[in-house]
This record gives sequence, C-alpha cells and structure tokens, in this order.
Amino acid sequence: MFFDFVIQFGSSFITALGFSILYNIPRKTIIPSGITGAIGWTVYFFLTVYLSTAEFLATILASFIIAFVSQMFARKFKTPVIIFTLPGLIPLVPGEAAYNMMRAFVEGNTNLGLQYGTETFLTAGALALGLSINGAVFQLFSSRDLFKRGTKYVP
Amino acid sequence: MELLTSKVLDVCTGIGRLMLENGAETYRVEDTVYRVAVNYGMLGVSVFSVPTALIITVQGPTGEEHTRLHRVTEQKSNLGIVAEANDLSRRIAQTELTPNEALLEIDRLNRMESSYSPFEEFLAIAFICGFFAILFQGDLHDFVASAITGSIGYMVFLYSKKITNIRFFSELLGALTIGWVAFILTNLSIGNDINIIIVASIMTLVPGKAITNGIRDLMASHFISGVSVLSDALLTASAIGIGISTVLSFI
Repeated sequence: MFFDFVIQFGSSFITALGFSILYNIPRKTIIPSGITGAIGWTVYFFLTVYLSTAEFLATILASFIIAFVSQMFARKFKTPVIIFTLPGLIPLVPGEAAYNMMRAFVEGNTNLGLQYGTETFLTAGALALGLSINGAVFQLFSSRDLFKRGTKYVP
Repeated sequence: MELLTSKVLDVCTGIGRLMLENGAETYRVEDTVYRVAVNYGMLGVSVFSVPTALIITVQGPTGEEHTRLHRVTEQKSNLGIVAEANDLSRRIAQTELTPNEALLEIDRLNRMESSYSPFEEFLAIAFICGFFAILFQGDLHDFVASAITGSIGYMVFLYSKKITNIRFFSELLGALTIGWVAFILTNLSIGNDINIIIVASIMTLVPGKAITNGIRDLMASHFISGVSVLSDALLTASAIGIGISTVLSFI
C-alpha cells in the first residue's frame, strides 16, 4: 500500500512538473507546482481507492486542497495563484472523459457518450467548485476587519 | 500631475492583451486592467473582455470619455508572461510607475521568449505521457510506448499548427498519428494495452485547461467567455475523438 502511494505521488509529481514546463511558468516555481499536483492527486487517489468516496466529493476536496497549497506557494513566491493551480489540477482534469465522450458519439454509442459527458461536466464543476470555495474562504479570512472589506470589481 | 489619458489606455490594453493572449482567465484580466486604470486616476472605469477581445471605457481627469477596443487573435499558454504582467500591475500600484515606463516594460514582455529550450519541452512531453500511463494503471511496457507515441503525436500537432491556422485540423492530425503509432507499437509488442497508451498519449492535446477555465469563468458570472471557452474545449475534444476513432475503425 505504501509503495502504491509512492508510485502515485511520484508519477503525478512528474506530470504536473511536465505541464508546468509546457505552460512556461518561471523556472523557480516548477518544483512547487509539481508538489501541488502530487498532493492533490494523492488525496484524490486515497479517497477514491481506499475510502471509496464518491468521485464528485473526492474531486471537490482534492481541488480545494490544491487551491489551498497554491495560495500558500503564491504568497511565498509572490506570483499569481494560477501558476500553481493550472499544472496542479492537470492530473484531475476530465480531459480523458471529454475525449471518451466525443469518441463514443462518433462511434454511435449515444448512451455511453452521454454518460461520459455527464462525468466530464460533473468533474469539471467539482474542480471549479473546490477552487471557488477556497477563494471565498481566503477572501473572508484574509481581511483584517471581516465585513468592512471594500467591494471588489469581480466576485 | 497631468496624465495623458490615451497613454493610460495604451498601458491598460497592453497589459490586458498580454494576459489574454497567454491564457489567463477573463475575470482576472478584467480585474487587473480595472486596477491599473484606477491607479492612474481614471474615473468611471468599465472593462469588458472575452477571450478574443478587450473593451475599456474610462473618463479622463478633465471629464472627457475614451473607449478602446482591442482585438486579440493569438492564443498561447505562457503563464510566465501572465506572472510578469501581474507583477507589473502590482508595481504600478505600489511605486507609481509612469505610463511611459510601463509601456517600455510591456514592450519587453511582448518580445519575451519561452524560457525553456525545445529539448526540455520534448522531454517534458515524453515524461508526461509516460507517467500518465502509470497513473492509468499501466505497466512498464505501456510507459515506454506512451512516451514514444505521445511525443511523436505532439510534434506532429506542433508542426502542422505552424503551417495551417485551423487548430481543429492540426489536432485531428495529431490524434490520427497517435492512433497509428499506438497501433504499430502494440503490434511490435513494445506496448501492452492500446487503450491505456492512447489515453495517456492524448493527455498533452486534451483541453483540460479550457474545461476548467470555462467553468471558472461561468462561476465568476462571465457567461459569454465561459460558454465560448467551453465550446472551444468541445471542438478540441471532438477533433481528438474523431481522429482516434477513425484509426480504431480501421484496426
């Protein structure tokens, strides 16, 4: 079991690191963004495989943790959060489901396609939900006087 | 301090264009441009942006109104430039960078090249595809086969993207290549499971970023951007799906 986790952690670390090179993020931040991705995927793997949590909930929790770790790194390195979240989310992103959906539609399996389509949008929604919850929590607690914060231009 | 309104608009559209071209979400672009304009003392600032255009209206210090529309045609993913643009807007807020200095900085960012050599990118692609095979429960054979397939497919995608300006076509070509190479490699018994190899190799082409950014735009109530980014993702996914199923129907 421990060996399993090491393999999953290492593989997701390298995929996130690879995507941070493809996205051209600054050289000093590629290791932290790899770590972000590895933490997120390992949490997701643990929840779905060992605790058999529903995938939707596991994805929300994993993306919340990714966003949280990214916020910490972003404060440390003084860069925008997107530098860490985008490569970090990559192992979780439903690209595979989106491809499977279109392939099923093209091959005429409409029902299978709809099933994969639902999966795609649920997973993508869960990812966005985790990020948004984290953003809201940070906005709430990072202001000195909780409810006297000036209104922002965007939500 | 008298500031020329058109100079300020130059800075605003410059920063906005840099961020839009390099893959920032639209709500972040609007927020940054708004802050820059307000920091230069503009009144009644209003910004609207979709992935392909940026509109900004401000009221200068003397009360006259100015509008600027900027069309964005290029689409890259260079988050390094997004980080630099963000840094620039922060410096404008803190140290009162004059518009002329800011324009010089924007010019420098425009000419900034990728900070990684083509060889490093190639290695990154090979490792991404290989380790995705392991994440999808493949074995060592699948690791090697996916690394080869994925990097060949991505190279075909990149080179055909340089020749044609229709992205759908180059994605289709990349997916077709991946399908055939995966088929050949499994027949040579370098790879074991063709499904794992294909799924791992398309991971660099798949629109993961667009799907997530689209939903985030929707949640930030930027409906037009969200829907257009999502339809972009759907188009990419269908290009890949069509390519792979074409190959699989021949086998």
